[in-house]
Amino acid sequence: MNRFFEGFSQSLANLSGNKTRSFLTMLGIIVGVFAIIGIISIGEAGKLSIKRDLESFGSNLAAIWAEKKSDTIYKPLNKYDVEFLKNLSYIEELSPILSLYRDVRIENYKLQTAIIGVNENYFSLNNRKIDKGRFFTSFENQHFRRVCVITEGIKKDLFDRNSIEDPVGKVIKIGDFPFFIIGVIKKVELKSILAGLVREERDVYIPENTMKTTFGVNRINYILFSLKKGIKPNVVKKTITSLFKIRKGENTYYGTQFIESQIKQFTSLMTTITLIIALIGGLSLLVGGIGIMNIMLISVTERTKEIGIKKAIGATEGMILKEFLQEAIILSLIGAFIGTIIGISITVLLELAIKWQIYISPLAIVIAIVFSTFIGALFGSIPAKKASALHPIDALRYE
Amino acid sequence: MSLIKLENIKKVYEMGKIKVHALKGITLSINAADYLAIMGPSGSGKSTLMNIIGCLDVPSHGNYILDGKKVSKLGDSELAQIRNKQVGFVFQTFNLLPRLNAQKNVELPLIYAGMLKKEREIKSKKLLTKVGLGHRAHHLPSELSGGQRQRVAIARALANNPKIILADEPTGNLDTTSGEEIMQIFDSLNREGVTIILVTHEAFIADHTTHIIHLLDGEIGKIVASSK
Repeated sequence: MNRFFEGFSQSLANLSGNKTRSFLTMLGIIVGVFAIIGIISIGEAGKLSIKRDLESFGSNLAAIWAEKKSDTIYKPLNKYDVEFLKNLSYIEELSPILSLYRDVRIENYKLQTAIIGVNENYFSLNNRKIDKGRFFTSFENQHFRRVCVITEGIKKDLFDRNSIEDPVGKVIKIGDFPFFIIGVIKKVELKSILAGLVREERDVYIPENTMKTTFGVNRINYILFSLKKGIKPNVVKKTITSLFKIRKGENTYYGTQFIESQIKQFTSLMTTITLIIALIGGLSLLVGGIGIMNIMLISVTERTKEIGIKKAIGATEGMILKEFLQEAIILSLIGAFIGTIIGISITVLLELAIKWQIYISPLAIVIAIVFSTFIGALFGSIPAKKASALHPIDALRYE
Repeated sequence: MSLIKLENIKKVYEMGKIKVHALKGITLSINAADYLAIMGPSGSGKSTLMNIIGCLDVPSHGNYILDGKKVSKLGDSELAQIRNKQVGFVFQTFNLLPRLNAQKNVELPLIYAGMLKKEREIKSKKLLTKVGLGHRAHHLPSELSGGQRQRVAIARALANNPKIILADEPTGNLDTTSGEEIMQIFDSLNREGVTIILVTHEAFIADHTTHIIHLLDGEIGKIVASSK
């Protein structure tokens, strides 16, 4: 160990003899390490924030809907299907989703928007938070009450814009029917790039039974349900799909989607993309390695006489080889160190700027440092071999 | 038994298509504690002979037996070990490493011998004191005079207590006074029992030795006792 540090300090002394050159030589490695750490960390941070956003909807959330494929018929979901699902042991809670478009009116102002019929479970199922007032109850649903919960988008566009204060307690007209506003839902706060993809909701939620009786809508768009803790989505997916084939007929098709599998798919895609970009960044490590090789070759020529002297006083080929190899490795290690520092600082700044959670991938740092050491050894071995193979007499005579 | 035994040593360099016969069959026997000078005109093969004796080079033909060991059969690391432990080189141009101070220069052969740092520091200090440079240990070669540099080089050559010192025109780059000081160091080393072989052009340097080998065209012309 002692000897290692001695060799290390000797190499450092050699390298610091020409600081500018050493730094320029390291540049490729610095950029490569910086790129790898930056790309992987930002990729991971993005992945984490998207995952967190998706999980904010409820990570055990799933949906089922009827679909028409070329070889199947369309057979919509009905209330018996809802009952059937409700009785499955692995389903926690559920809500059918019905919808239609109608004008929503208050005083002289109106807005055309989606009216969504759900049951009282919907809000907890979908992790929605109340801003003002309350959600509707099972009682209100069972008794066809004309109550509604509006989203912040509606509040903004229909109430705030027209200087109508506090929507809770007011009556709005949906189509021709008056509804009592009992609550306002908070808007979904997304922090990842998904935020840019989702536009602000302008929906009005009413009890599904009210929807059926008031507007005569019976068609269920889809059923939203949550799985009990510890239930694996891919097993449920298979079971439910085959159960529905039995219930509804072989010639039907029901699509399903599970947030947990969505998250998995999404994150694995992100990982692949990140790794591919990081690999491209890593190419600059190779270029950096070639830079090190060039400079070391020049250095061997410049230090020919020194090599001759060292051989004359007893250095073996192995010792000379080791000396140059060590220099190449230290050069790339210092480069990796600088690259890591720059990589971490810039990544943190970037993540702060886009308001993501701060994340630095430790794996990326390990990969970058191990890889650049390897590069240093690989490309340093050629000049080192050249140096060690010099004939002592020729090297001594070199001027 | 002789320390150095050369039997019909030949050295041929190939410069393109031309073959240069630098040594044409040298047979020579040198005993421990001998003090020799090798003289001869340029191109007579003096340096080639020195390099072969010092294991910096290998003969094209012939046998070289050093301290009972057949050198012509040895590989790189064994030759390096001989250069490190049994032979000490002193060059005309000193050949110190410019970026290392005097002490570090002297320590270098000790590093190759695998000596630990503490011991190295003590040994190198002692060697520098021996050549009268104890107070200059931390100076770079560029901060030393020619004579001082050569003394550092001698200290380095002595590092692993070699039996043989090979000096190739050790005073060639020095003024007369410094040259004389260097020769006095060699004289006292020889009195301690170190075998010294030096190449020189100058008769008054050669006069320090006991025998002078005259080389001519790669062959030994004559061996004479010096006028000392």
